[in-house]
Amino acid sequence: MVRDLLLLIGVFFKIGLFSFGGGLTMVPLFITEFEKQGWMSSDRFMDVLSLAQMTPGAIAMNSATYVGNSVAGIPGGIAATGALAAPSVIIMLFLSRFLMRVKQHPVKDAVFRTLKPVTIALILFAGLQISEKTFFAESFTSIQWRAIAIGLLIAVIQYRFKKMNPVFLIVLSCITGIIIL
Amino acid sequence: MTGLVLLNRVRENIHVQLFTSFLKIGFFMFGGGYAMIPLLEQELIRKKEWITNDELLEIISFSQMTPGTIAINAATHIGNIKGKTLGGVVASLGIIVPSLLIITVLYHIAGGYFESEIVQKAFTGIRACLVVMICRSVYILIRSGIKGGVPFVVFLLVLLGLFCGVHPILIIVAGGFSGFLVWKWSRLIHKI
Repeated sequence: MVRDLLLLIGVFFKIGLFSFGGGLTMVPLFITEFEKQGWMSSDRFMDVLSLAQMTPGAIAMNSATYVGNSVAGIPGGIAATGALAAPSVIIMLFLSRFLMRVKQHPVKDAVFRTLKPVTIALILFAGLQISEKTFFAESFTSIQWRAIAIGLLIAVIQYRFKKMNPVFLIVLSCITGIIIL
Repeated sequence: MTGLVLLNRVRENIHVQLFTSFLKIGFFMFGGGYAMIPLLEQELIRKKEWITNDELLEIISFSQMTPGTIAINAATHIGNIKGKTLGGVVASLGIIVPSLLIITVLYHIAGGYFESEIVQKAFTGIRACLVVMICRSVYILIRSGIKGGVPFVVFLLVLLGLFCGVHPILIIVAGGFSGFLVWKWSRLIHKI
C-alpha cells in the first residue's frame, strides 16, 4: 500500500514536472507511464479521458484522481492528484514574481521558440492517439463510420458557430453517441 | 451580531476569496485548459477585478511555458500576486478540489458501469468531439506558435520521434535544449 502510494507520487510528480503547455500534452506521457507500470491499458485510459472530459476540472487532474483511485483507493487518488499539481505550484510560486519582471530575455525566447512546436506536436499526437481508438476501434481495417460522422457534425457546428460553448458540444456528442453508435 | 461580523471578516479575507473563486472556476470548468479562459475572464476580470485582460493573456503564456496544467499554473500565479505564497497555494487547492471530489465519487459509485454498452457509446461520442476540439486548438496554435523554419523542423522531428516511440520527456528536454543551441550557434555566427 505504502509502496503503491510512493510509486504514484513519484510517477505523477515526474509527469507534472515535464509537461509544458497544459493537460493534453500529458496524454502521451500518461499512456507511456501507465503501460510501463501496468496500472492501466491505453484502451481503459481512453474511457478515463472521456470521463475526465465530461466532468468539470482539468482533464489531467481528473485522470490523475481516477487512476490514483484505481491503483490505491481514495488515498491513491489524493496522492496522485497532489503529486501532479505539486511541481507546477512549487515552480510557479518561485517564477511568478520573477517572470513578471523578465518578460523579454533572449535565452527564454530562444528556448520557447523550439519548446512551442514540441508542445503543439505533443497535443497533435494526443489527438492522433485518441482518434485511432475512436475512429478505428481495434485496427485500421475496421473504420467506425458512425463515430466519424459525430466528429464531422461537431466540426461543422464548431466551424459555423465559432463561439459555441464547449459544454454544449460535449453534451451533444454524448447524446448523439448513445443514439447512433 | 459578533457572528455576523466574524462571517464578514472571513468572507472579505483575500485567501478565502481566492479559494472560493478558484473553487467555483474548478466546478464549472468543462473540457480542459483552454476552456477555462472564458471563466477566468468572467470571475477574475469582470467580477473581482483582480487582473486586466492584458494580464490574463500574459498569465496564459507564462502558464504554457512552465510545467503543469494551465489551470493550476494560472491559479498559483494569480494567487501569488494577490495573496503571496499562501494565496498561491489556496488558489491551486481551490481548482484541484472539484476534480478530486467529483472523480473520486464517480469512481466509487459508477466505476462498475464503465463496461456497459450505453456508457461506452456515450464515451466514444465524447472522444469524437474531443478529437475535433484538439484539431481546432492545434490549428490555432500552429498559426501563432510556429513561425520560421527551425520551429517547423522541430515540429516535424517531434512527430517523427513520437511515432517511433521515443519517450515524451526526452523529447521535451531535447526540444528546449535545441532552442538554446540554435540561439548559441547563431550568436557565434554573428560574432565571426
